[in-house]
Amino acid sequence: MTELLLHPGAVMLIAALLIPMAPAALRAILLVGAPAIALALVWQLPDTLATAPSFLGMTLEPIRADALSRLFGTVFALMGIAGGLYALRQTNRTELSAAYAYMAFAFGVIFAGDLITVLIFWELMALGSATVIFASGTEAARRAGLRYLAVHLFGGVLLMAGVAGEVASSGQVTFASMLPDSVPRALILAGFLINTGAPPFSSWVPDSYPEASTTGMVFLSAFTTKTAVYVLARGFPGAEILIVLGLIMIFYGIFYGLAESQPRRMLGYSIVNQVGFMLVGIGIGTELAVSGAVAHAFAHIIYKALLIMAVGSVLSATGRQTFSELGGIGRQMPFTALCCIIGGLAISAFPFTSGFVAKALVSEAAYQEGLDWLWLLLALGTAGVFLDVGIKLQYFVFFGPDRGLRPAEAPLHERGAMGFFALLCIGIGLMPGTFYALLPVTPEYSPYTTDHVLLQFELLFFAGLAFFVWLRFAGWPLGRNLTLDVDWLWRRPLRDGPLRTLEGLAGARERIADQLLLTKDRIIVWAQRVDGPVRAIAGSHPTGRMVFFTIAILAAILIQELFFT
Amino acid sequence: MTPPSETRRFEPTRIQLIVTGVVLAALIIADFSVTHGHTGLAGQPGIHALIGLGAGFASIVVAKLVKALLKRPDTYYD
Repeated sequence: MTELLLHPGAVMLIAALLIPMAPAALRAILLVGAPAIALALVWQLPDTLATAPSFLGMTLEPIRADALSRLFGTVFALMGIAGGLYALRQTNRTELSAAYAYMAFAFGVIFAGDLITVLIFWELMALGSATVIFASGTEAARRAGLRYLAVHLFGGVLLMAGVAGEVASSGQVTFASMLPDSVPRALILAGFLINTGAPPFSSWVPDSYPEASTTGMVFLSAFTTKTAVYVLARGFPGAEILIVLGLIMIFYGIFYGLAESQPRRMLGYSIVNQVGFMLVGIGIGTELAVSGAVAHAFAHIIYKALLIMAVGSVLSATGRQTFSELGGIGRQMPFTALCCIIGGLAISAFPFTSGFVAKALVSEAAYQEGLDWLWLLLALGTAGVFLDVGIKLQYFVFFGPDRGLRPAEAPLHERGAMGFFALLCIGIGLMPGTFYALLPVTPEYSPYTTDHVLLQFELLFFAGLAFFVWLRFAGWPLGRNLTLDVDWLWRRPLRDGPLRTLEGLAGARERIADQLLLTKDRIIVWAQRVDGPVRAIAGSHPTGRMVFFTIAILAAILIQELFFT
Repeated sequence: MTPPSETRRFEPTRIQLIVTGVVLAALIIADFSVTHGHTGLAGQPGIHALIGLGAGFASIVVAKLVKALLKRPDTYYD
């Protein structure tokens, strides 16, 4: 059991406990050092525990390390290092501590070999991440955090019901590949899907993440949705429903992202869009497709964190967070702009970036399976992403007319974190062989063929042309607004509905009470009328009349005694 | 303070137009002259330009529709 101390999550949890009480210098060391140690441990961890612990008669497997979990562990640790460096000056200890605990639990999920361990860390992750949102301290964050928690605890309940059903029906707790062919397994899938931002619960991503602080959103963007991708890749490869859901997410993310007025919320939609590509890969289910999905997850964590850091640095430097208030600050923040553009190119699968070598695998898998329609939709989605994060975000933040903003360039540690991830985006793009070798199954695929590079440029440049032609002739209105989503249901009718129902019930109770009182009064009046002091039964009568009745009764008794006995 | 609301436009310079035209034309010419590794839909010359342009305009149009139907003030839920 001492091997548990070698668990990368254990190091992160120790850091989370020490961060609140550590002085500033030690805190800085913890922020970057703990994930660096975790990175080493990801590769040192034994494949499984020598003696398996048991719980309620079930044999658990709290550590299962293989190529897939080590791949996710590696990128999680890299994310921790860059995120910690970016957050070096963050003084909110609650947020940092919660973020490190959240990372520890994410490690817990990806190294879990059984469903019970997955479930426990899954629920803990929801609490950790919600605390990161709450820690930003604003009223909007408090409310968004509660909505976030409600959605995720609902997902947790589905997962718990599914795991309980699965264990009861099969007697197995091992977390292995399955298909959603029974009610418990469908529930497990649904629980996992809620964390990916799949419809109808996509809105939690753009709703809650942007309410966290600039540093908090960096941590949040990486772990919840990607542990969900991990468990789907492990548990449900080839589940065809994932293709449909993934496609919806791809286009939902693009359309809502293009309609969005705030860069940070737009990046939230973009997370949903990117996870959609991964779900499609897992849904196709071939070795190449699943490898593509996890490669995409690896690359995405890096470039999405890079984009969120850059936009966060812009927010910190300018205090402005809508497109209509930004623009033209590329000259003042050249390093941030460069990093953001590299992130934007990577997410758009631009050749020589990580996105290009990772995203190509899923498209290629669709092509190899003869799914031309799916290949076409993925290509359309790729072009849409370029328009969205590749151009719109960059153009309206860093280019366009000068608004007189004169922000200072991001601080050194933020530039360091961004530079690190920007280099990784390009490094992975230039060395696909090394990157592919990390994957559970190394794909027999070379992304750099003349026609592939050429056609990718063609796809992206013509999509870009559409944007600028539109901008030239139709213009792009910028305002400050939100776009209604499915969450309208529980933020309006389902929130207000019960309130109104309760109010209605309270009113009804009063009306019923009034009615009862009124009825009581009416009964009294009626009884008095029938039986009051002046009426026949209860009224007073002269003594003579009473004597007459008494004699009549006595006479009747006498007659009965004399003649009828 | 109400943030400014405006329609952002783009006025390309002559140089930008020429460079864009040359690059796009070169890509199309190259597309029709290289051997394609893929067959079927993915191997059609020029299909990537069409997909890019189509996806570009379609995404913008749908996003405008989404905005027209579902746009609400920032304070809608407050």
